[in-house]
Amino acid sequence: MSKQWVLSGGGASYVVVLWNDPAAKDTSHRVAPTVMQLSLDGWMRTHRQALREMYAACASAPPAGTPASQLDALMKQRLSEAFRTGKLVGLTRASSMAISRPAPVLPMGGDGPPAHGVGIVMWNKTPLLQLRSSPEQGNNALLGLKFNTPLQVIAQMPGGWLSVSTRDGHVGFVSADYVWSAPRHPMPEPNARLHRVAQGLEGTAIAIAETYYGDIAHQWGSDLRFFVAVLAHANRRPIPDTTAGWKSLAFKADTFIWIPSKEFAKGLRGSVNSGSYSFNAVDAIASGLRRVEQLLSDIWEAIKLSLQYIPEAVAKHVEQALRTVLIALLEMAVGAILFLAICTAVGAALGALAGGAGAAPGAAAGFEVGLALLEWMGLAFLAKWIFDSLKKIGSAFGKFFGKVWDARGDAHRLDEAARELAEVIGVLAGVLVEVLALWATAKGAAVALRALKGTAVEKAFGSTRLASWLKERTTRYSEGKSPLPGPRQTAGMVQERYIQQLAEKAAPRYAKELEPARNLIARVFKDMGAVQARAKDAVSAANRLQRAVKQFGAKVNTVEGAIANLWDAIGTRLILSDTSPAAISRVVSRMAEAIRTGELEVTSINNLHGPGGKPYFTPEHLEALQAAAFQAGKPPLTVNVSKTMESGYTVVCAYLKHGNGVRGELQIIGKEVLNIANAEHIPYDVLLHKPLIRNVPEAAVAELQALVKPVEAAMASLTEAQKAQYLQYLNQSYIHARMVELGQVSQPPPLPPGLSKVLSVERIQALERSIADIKAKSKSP
Amino acid sequence: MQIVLNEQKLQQVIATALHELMEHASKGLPDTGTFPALSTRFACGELLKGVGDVELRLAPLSGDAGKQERFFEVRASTPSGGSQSSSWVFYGRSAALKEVLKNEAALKGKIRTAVVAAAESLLRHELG
Repeated sequence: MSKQWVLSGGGASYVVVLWNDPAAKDTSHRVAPTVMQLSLDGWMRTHRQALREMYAACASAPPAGTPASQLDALMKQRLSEAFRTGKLVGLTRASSMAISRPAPVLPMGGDGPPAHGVGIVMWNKTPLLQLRSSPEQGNNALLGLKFNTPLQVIAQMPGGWLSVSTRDGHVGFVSADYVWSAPRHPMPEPNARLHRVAQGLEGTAIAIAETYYGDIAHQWGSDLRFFVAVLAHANRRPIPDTTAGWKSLAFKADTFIWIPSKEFAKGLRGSVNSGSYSFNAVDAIASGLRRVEQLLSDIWEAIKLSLQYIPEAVAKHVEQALRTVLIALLEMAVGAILFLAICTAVGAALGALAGGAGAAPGAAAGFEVGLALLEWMGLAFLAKWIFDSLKKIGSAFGKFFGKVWDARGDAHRLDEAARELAEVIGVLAGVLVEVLALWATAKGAAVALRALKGTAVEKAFGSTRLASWLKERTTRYSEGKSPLPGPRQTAGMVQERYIQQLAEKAAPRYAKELEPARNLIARVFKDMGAVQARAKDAVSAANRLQRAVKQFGAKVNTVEGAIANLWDAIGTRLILSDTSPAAISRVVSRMAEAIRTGELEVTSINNLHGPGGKPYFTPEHLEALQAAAFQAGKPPLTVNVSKTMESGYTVVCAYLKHGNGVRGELQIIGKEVLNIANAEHIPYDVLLHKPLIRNVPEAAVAELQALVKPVEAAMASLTEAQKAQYLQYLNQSYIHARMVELGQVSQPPPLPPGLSKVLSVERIQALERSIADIKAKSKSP
Repeated sequence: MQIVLNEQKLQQVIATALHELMEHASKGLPDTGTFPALSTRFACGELLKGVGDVELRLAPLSGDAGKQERFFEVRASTPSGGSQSSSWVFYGRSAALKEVLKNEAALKGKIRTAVVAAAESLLRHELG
């Protein structure tokens, strides 16, 4: 056998042979030359000696007098050519990785043995620990690493150095003295951090537990004994087996101890009786740790196995131009970086995992992994653009975790998990390519190129080729040749989906104010009428928020922002039992008094009616309420008066502030008008193309559709002139209802000739009752 | 999306209208007793989104038996005139109102805030 070189890094290991080596004939293990070419940069740092040997074996010596500064570039260029022309052949070591734990890869040429594992920076002083471009002291610092920075340890190097990568993709060397990692200092879990023990009371375990877990300890309703136990085990310290033994546990001052993450600690809770902790409970923690250890080992195994499936999966989802680049990038990412990301996600998911054996962690963990991958590629800024896809990818990662969780070392299951992972990565790559082009179109190719400068993608693809690829793709989008939506449309869709999600998160939060709001209105307007209340459903809330963003640029970026912009999140209604002018004046007095006393916090009032209609509040009423706000030292009340409700809708809406920043609308309305309003919204919503049937059980949909269909058909057949006539008819119906409420003589208006009878107020009211019955029936058990 | 379309011009028209109203007030605002509302109006169609005219108005409180309470109202109408949004920048007696009118800079700021709030409220409630 001729000379061979084993090159590792980024979680993969390759054997490089000369073209005439018998192993080179086995094409099943060949690695694309591009992959090898793209890895050269990293190997120049980590496997320099091996590369020198390869260079000497396949290329002529550098011309005499070549400056030392150019030797590296020349060696890289020659090796790259050698891979391209087939003089050097890269082979995977997949066969040796598969099935069981791989034998340690022993790099040749003086490179260190691999030491895959997570480590952490324990140097907590300044200057910071330096990540260096070569394993030696000197003018080679790449960046400073802060105390507690997690590192992926790639290999142990001679002279007490470690080859490491940071979470954001920097690769280099650090002095092993300042990094805690296995085997001397194995981390109890991937998200653990270090703590330097202080002198005295602060150094007791209970004080440390209070510092790191104080907030969650109280949530559980138990004391800190449980967390003291976690600290004891994580740092291999026994607790004296007495009732108060846990109190006496202390760590040596000025030493470092492990602090497991909150999620990890919580995940162990099922194993420990936090109320009556005993020394035996430590054994339960130990078994939990062993389980995690196996889980991490399985994940690592599955990730490595996935390498062989990635090229095929990426090819399925990515266009040719970027295929090889992404395969190379992702293969590298699926090494140390992805392992670290998955460990983070697993750490975060441990609480859920500990909830039951076999329970797969949710999509949230996978979402984090997706983000970590993007971050590694320097494309984290695209996360917003692929928000929805990331969610789907997150779910798929969830499946991967589930399979690994159940594998418990089983080779077949790990292989299945590896295929899952490769597929997910392929999908992510496909989405990434499309979004990259969309984003570049939106930004402009020049700006996009500047933003991509220095990212792993730019480095791998080469700035010139990336520029031409982006230009071609952006032209295709601009010319409408792409079947995909344009950037503005995509951005809009992303924003819509984002707002929907915010609305869904906001809904249960503001719904908590429903009962307090109902009680408040009932108390303030006691004996003045019936009170109804509802919390806005999430779909309706999302619609409202979209309109707020579009119409006046409301800032809806957080759940709190969503809640602040839902000014009718809680809807209350006072159905007046007496609508005489005197009774309305009493309502106004009561409201003014509540404003003055601070019982009601009113921000604005809408006094609405249609053309020629009779509003509930008079200008004097509105003045009285504005004066009340001023007298109470409140911000001025905004009063809106509108006589343009085209269907005649007549109501007073007061906008209130409830607890926790939640806003609400109080409708004040009489029974007669409400009867019209309840029915009138059906044709009016049809006119505005709003969906009539929503938030109803699936079983009731068909029945409701059959009921509303005739109205929809009748509305659809109206001419513009008939629409105007019909709206006038509805307005007259409101005016009639108000006249009745005021005790004045009035006749209901006739339906304009030529309009379908199904549109008459009586028929629509009957329809409304039927809809209400069906909804009630379908809700009852 | 910007509600204020031309800030500089908005400030200018508010200043002009306020001067006019101050002049009306110097002649027509009694210390006590009722009086016909004093007002001045300016067009904001190209200065604020969703707003047509804005009216600055000094008036006695309708339900005030002692006829001493006054308010300074900022009222913005939609371009169609079908809806109005109003808020007060002052409520109290004539003496206090006259003091407020002397502090032109502060008053202009309050009026500007009220006008923008009115525009936003009309848009928020989709009133035409």
